[in-house]
Amino acid sequence: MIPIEYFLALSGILFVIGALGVLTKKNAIVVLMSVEVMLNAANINFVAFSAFYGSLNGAIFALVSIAIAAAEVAVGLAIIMNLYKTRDTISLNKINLLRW
Amino acid sequence: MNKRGRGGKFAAGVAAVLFIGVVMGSMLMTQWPAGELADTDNFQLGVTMFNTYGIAVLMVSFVLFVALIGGVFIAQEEEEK
Repeated sequence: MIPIEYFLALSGILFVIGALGVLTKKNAIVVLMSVEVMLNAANINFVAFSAFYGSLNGAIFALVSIAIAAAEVAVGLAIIMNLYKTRDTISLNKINLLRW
Repeated sequence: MNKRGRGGKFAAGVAAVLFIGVVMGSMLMTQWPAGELADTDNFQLGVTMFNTYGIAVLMVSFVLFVALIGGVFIAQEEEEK
């Protein structure tokens, strides 16, 4: 039987990989993918606790979270497409529209 | 990252190592309640999803619909005049 620490460790490692991607990458699509990795790390936690402690609420919440992530990535990709059309770049260094 | 280049990446790596250290340490030191990895009852999953959380599923469907429309609206091609 797999102890729950393995799932939590996998989730933590995935979260750190995603956070590193968000912090260091310049390509907007790669940053969006890293955000997805972080969201899925949280989903692994939900499903692990749900499967270990016999409550289905965590699994349902993970499903809702996946749906919200799909909505987010749809809007994010549309924004990136629009940026590429209007500014000819998706490099986050060159996009300063919302920067203070 | 233009101005900060490698220094920024190094700082991010140090922060990542520190963060994973804190997460792993606190996770390994916690005494988790004893649980058994059990198979999910798919029938019960469906019942819970659509009976207990039916309203939440409806709201998620609304959010997905709005995101669909918003994504299409943002990404649509402008007509040439």
